[in-house]
Amino acid sequence: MKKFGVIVSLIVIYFVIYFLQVNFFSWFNIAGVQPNLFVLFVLFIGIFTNEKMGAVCGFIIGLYTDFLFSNSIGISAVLLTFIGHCGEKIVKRFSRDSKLTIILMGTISVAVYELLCVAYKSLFFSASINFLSYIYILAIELLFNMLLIIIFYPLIHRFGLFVESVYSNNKMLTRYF
Amino acid sequence: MYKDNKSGKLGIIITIVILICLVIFTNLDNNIIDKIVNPFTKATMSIQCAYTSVVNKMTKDEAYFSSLESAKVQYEELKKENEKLKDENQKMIAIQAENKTLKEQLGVAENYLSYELVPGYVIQRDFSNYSKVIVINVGKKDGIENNMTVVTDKGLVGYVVSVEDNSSKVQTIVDTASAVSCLISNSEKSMVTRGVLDSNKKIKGTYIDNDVVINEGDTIYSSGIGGIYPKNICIGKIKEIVNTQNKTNRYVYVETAVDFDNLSDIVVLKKQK
Repeated sequence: MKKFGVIVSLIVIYFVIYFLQVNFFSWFNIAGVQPNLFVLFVLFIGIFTNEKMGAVCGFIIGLYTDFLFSNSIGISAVLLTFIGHCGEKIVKRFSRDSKLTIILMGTISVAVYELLCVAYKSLFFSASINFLSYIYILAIELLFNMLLIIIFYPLIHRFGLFVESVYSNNKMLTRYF
Repeated sequence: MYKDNKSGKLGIIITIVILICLVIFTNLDNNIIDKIVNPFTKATMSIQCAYTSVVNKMTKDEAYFSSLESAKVQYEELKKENEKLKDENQKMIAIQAENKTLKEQLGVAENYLSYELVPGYVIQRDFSNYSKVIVINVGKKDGIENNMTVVTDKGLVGYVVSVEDNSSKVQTIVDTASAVSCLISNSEKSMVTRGVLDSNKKIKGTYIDNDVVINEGDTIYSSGIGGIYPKNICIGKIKEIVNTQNKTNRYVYVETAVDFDNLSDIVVLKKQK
């Protein structure tokens, strides 16, 4: 029952994020550059649930995003599946309670996602990408994402721990403490 | 574990302030100082004016208090009149907007007589910073197919890359993956324009013949080569010519005729059968 509640919450959060990404951040931007909330969302699902859940959510969100926006189906699905799958694996080596770890993981994930997306676009659609412009936009995007993680970290962390408690089956036997 | 202490909260508040400042400052025009100073000046001056006026009236005009009742009546009348005028103004604005859209569609219709026109509007833009695909509200049900050209009364927008029942995705000419074969107005030589990553207002024109004389302000039209875009659709005007050491590599920046930041009404060109 709790798992069902978590899934419903994640769907609601996805639509809130979708609204923010498409409407709010189209005008609340830094020098015309928007953050990428979908990557962060999938990453946090991966970190606080498990590899399988992260990958499945990443795939669904990526595919849906491709259907809505992209002119090629699949690239976002593949990349977000990868990010969702790797979230838990990477965080196992570090502490998920460390703000710095979360910020770095968020930033690196967005960087990898955007890098591979642009590489795909230039390889398969012959997109002409000016390297300096790309770096400039990417730097602002990463900064924007970092600021958002810092602001929303307490919220993400609390919700994350709740989700984690639902998904990890380690029941704590309090009577022995 | 995150501790909900004062320094944590302060950090978050500072970050929010920094973020808001960044957003505001990067979206402001060049005359930032004027814009910052103006509200303060306005507020101070309004208070000062009100104060001076009250002082003047109290000291110089003895009839001030006697006419207060009549002023109140007059104020109510004016208020009613103001409400009425506001209503009328709103209606006028709506009519004006409708008139503008109809005029635009009429302009397009005159330019593309051999095509059936399907009017629509932009319902969504790609959130990615590296892609400039738009979604329009017409799709298969309206007879839209892949590779159909999308225009406005000002010029070329792009072409349809994917169609759903009630919507279609359009790759705009400012997208980096988009390439359009064009003609320069003062010669019949062609060049290729491509979108640039950091702008929605300009595109880059390359593969310009060595013997072509180009000037800033020259108009660029679609050449019809490639089979997607019809010939002679306005793309924009040459804004900047960049000469390189090797003349073969010279390129131009073209200011697009269509304002992609404020694009709303579009028309899809459908070949008449």
